[in-house]
Amino acid sequence: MARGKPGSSLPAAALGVAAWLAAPTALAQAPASTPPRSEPRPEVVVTATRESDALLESKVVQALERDPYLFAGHINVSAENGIVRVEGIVEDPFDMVQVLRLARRIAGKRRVINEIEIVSLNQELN
Amino acid sequence: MCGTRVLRSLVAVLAAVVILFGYPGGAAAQAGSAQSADQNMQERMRQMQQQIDELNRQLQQMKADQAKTQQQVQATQQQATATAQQFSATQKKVDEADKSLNTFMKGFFGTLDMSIDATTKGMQNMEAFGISGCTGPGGTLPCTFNTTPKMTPGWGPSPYGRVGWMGMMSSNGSNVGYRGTHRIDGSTVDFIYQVSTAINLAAAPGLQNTWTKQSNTVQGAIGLGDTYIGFKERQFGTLKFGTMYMPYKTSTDRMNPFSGGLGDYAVIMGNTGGDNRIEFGTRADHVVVYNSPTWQGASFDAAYQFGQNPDPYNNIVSLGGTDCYGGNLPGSGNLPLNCDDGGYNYGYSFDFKYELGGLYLTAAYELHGGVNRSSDGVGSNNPIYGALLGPPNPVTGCATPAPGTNSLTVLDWNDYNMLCAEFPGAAAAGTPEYNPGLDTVNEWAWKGGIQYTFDFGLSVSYIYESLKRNVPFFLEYQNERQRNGDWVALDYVFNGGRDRVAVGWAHAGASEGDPGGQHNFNPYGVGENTANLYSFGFWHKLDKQLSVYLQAADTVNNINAHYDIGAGGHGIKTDCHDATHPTFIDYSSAGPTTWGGCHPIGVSTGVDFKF
Repeated sequence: MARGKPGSSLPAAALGVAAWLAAPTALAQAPASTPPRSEPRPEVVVTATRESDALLESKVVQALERDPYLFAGHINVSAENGIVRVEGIVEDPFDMVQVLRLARRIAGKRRVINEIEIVSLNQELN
Repeated sequence: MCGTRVLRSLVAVLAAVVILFGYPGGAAAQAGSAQSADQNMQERMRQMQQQIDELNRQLQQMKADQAKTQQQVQATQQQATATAQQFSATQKKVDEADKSLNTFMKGFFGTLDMSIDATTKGMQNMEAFGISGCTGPGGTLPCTFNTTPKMTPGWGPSPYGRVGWMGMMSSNGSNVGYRGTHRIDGSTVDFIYQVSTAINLAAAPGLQNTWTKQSNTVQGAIGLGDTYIGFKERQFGTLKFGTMYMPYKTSTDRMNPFSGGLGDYAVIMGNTGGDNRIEFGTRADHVVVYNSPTWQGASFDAAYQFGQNPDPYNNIVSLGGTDCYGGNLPGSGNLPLNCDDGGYNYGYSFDFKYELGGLYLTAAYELHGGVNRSSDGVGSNNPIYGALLGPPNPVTGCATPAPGTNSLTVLDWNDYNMLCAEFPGAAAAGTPEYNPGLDTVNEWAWKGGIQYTFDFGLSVSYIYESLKRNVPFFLEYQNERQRNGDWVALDYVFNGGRDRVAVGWAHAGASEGDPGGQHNFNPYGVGENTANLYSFGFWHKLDKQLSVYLQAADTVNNINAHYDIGAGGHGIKTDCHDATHPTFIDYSSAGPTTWGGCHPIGVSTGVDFKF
C-alpha cells in the first residue's frame, strides 16, 4: 500500500479546499457567459401576433355587429394565436349557428372555438 | 411691453437733448448771459433729471406690474392645467362609470315571446275502451269490451269537454335574467353568477294549482330558470352550483330549431311517458355542473344532482325543494299528494361534444336514481293489473287482492287499506298503487347526435335516443318508460339571414309495456304506442332582436300512445287529456282521462323579442 509523503498532503488538501471554494463561484459565473434564456427575441413575434389577433378579433366583432339580423349582444369574442374563441349566450340556436358561420368565414373553418351557451327556455311556463 | 419701449425711447431722446444743449459752443463766450444760461441749463437739467427719475420710477413700476401680470398669467395657466387635469380625471371617471354601466346593462338578457295558437286535441269522436274482463293467463287476452265507459257512470264514453279547435294565447319561453362575472383578485379565476326568471306575459304569475295538479312552484318568480353561482377559469373550465338543465338536454339544444314552439322535439325526445312532461330534459334542482374547456374542438360536461330525499322510495319532495324531481307535480291527475308519479332521488348526467367546422357530434347520458312510479297502478285499465284485484269488499266496496296471484307482493295493500278506512268512497273509486319497493327503480337514457351546417345556410340534424327503466320482469307489462326515439331536422337560413324555415320529424318507438292508467288503454293495441311528430316553422326577422314566426305541429299517435304538442317550452300544451274533473279531490285518479290515439294538431303565430 503506497503511502504519501506527509509533506505533500498539505498542498493537495489546500488545493482541494481552494477548488471547492472556487467551484460555486465558477458555477455561478458559468451561466453569465451563456446567453440568458429569456432573451427578448420572442417579443417582436409576440407583438406581431397580438396585433394580428387584435385585428382578427376586431374583424369578427365588426362582422357580428354589421349583420343586420343577428343579435349577438351577449357574445364575447377573443383571439389568441389566430384562434378565435366565441363565448357567451344566445337565446336561439339559429343565432349560434350564425355567429359561428361569420366567425369561421373570417378566422377559418377550423380556427373557431365555440363556447356559446344556448339559454334554455322554461318548460314550466304557461 | 409696448409702454416700456416708449419710455425707453423717451429717455434716450431726453438724454440726447441734454447732451446737445450741454455741449460748450461759441455762444458761451458771451459772458453776460453765460451765468444765466448756465443756471437755466442747470434748472432744465434738474427738471429733466426729475423726469428721468420719474420715468425710471414708472418703468420700475411697469416692470413690477409686468412681473405681477406674468405671475398671474402663470397662476392662471397652472390653474387651467389643474382644471384640465381635474376635467380629465372626471372624464375618466365618467368613462369608467359609463363602461361599468354598459357592463352592468349588458348583464341583462331575456326573451319576450307571445303567440296566438289554434290547436285541437284531435279526439272528438273517440270512444272509451270499457273492459269487462280478460280471461287469458295472468289477466291477458282475450278480453271482452262492454259499453260501460271507463269513467264514472253517467259520463259519456267520449272525451268530456272542449277537445276540438281552440284559440289561445301563450307566453312560451319568455324569461329575463342577469348574469355577470367578478374576477377574483390576484388570480385568473372568475366568480360567475346568473339569476333568471320566467315571465308570464299572458297571465298573472302564481301557483299552478288546478284539479289536475298542485304545484308549489311560483310561476314568474326569480329562480325559475337557470340560476347559479360558480367559478370559471379558461384553462380548467367552469363549475356551477344551482338549478340548471343538465348536459343530457343542453348537448342537443342546438338541434332543436322549434325550441319553445308547438313542434319542440321534446314532445317525444326525452319524454318517456308521452304527455307534457319531459323526464330527461327537465331543469334540475340542487345540481352541480362542470363544463370543460374545449380542446381541439372536443369538450365534455358533467352534472350531479343531489337527492336530499329522506324517503327511501323518494315519495316526498326533496329537502329544500318545491316540487318532486322529474317534473312530477304532487297530486297530478287527482293522485295522492306524493311524488309517486316520477319523483326520484339523485341524478347525474354527462355529455361529450366534438365540433370541427360545420360538423358537430355529441353523445350524452343521464341517470335518475330510484324513480317512483308506483301510482301507475291507480285506476289502471290494464287487464294484467285488473287480474290482481279480487272482488270488492261487500261492506266497504274497497278492492281486495285476487287470490292465487302475487297481488300482495306487487300491490301496496297497506296504504290502500288505510286510504279505504279514511275515504271508503274514494278508495272504492280507485285501486292500489304498485308496491313502491318494486316500482321505485332507476331510469336512464343515452343519445347520440350529429349535425352538419353547410356554408349555404342549411343545417341537418339527427338524434338517436334510447330510454330505459329497470323494473322487475313481472312489472314489465306496465313499463311505458322504455323505448327508442329518433329526431331529424332540416333548418335553412336564407335571404341574408333574415328568414329561416325548418322542418322536423320525431319518432317514438314502441315501449315495453303500458300501465293503462288514466287512459283508454286498448289491450288489443299492446305495443301499438308509437308516435310521430311533424314540425314546421318559418321565422322572419324584422331586425336584430325582433322576429315574427309561424309554426305548425302534428302529432300522430298510435292506438295507445298519447304524446302531445307543445311540450318542452311552449306555453300552452295541447295534450290528450279531456276536461273530466271530479267535484272533489279524492286521490282516486278520477282526474282528466287521457285518450290514447289522440291526434293533436296546432298552428301558432307570434312575436319574439330578444335583449
